Amino acid sequence: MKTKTGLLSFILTLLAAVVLAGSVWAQQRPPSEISDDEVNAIARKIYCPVCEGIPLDTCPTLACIDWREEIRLQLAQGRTPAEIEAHFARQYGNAVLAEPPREGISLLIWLAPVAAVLLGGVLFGNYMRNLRRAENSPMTITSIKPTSPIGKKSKKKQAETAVNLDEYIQRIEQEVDRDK
Amino acid sequence: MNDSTQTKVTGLNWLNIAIISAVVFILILTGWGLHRANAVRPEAGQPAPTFNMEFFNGYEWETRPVSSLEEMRGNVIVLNFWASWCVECRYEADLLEESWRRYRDQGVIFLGVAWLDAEHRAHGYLEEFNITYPNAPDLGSRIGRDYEITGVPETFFIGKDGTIAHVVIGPVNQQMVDAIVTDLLAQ
Repeated sequence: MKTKTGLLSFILTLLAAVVLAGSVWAQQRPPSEISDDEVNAIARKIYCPVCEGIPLDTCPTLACIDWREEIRLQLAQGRTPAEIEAHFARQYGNAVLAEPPREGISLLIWLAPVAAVLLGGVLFGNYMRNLRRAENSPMTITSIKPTSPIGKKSKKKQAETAVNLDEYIQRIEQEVDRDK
Repeated sequence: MNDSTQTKVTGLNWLNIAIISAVVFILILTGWGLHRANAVRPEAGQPAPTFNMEFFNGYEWETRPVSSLEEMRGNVIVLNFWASWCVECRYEADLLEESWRRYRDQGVIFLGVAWLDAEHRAHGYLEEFNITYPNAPDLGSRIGRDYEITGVPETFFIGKDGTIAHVVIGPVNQQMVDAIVTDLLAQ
């Protein structure tokens, strides 16, 4: 019985070792087997700060050639493109990434355009609503909606102005009638 | 004032607050960006920006694999930015190593910072020139950014009090290193 159990555990251990070795072997390749296309697929998402504004896949400087070699070595070690990009960001800073990471302060870069569009939409909607309201209401000075916050004093002043204007318009109408 | 007017006024206030906040936020962000973009290299007489460094495998300072400029205060520091792809850095590599060996027992620390360099290449460079003084990669390019370096090689000579004494853009020469280090040791 003991011998059988021992044999079984030996076979299981052997199987596990074969599977593990197989997966490691499948992930790791010699650097010479990594094609330029595989390297460039990652390199075009990375920028070299030495030659600003040029992606790594097209940059001819020595530094960029070294960085492409670094990508090749990491691919050979079985690292994924995401892991390689994270490695470059850690080593050289987020500025080297074509797409800043969606975390920390870099998240603002992604959120700012969305916030700007939303804010613009709210402002535009508000403007259109005011415009429509102004068109529907009678043409008097009091129908014009102020665009700045109205304090108590300014509201009072506005009411006084409206009354004065009404009186003024009435006087003009009276004078026009008299001239007729 | 009726209820509807009250609601409109409140709504308008909130909208204005939102707009003002957005504008202030954008102004702060722009100001911060301009400040970063217009930052100038720390010059002689200014305190040296402090930083932490994680040395390359096989390198250390006082048996520590991680250290900071702050911990080295009290020594004269020769901080050299280099890269394996930099041709001019090769002109001064031997000179820096020889100078380190000459001055290390007199309270002078030579520090090498590999700027924007692939790690395997940096290791190759250190081996090629048999460099033994503490060397570290500039992780996240933070040190280079704090010192506002525009290329390599650049060397900062820092006095015992942590103040930058000299900045050399381009390769250093033996006369220059001897004169500056001797002067800083005497202070």
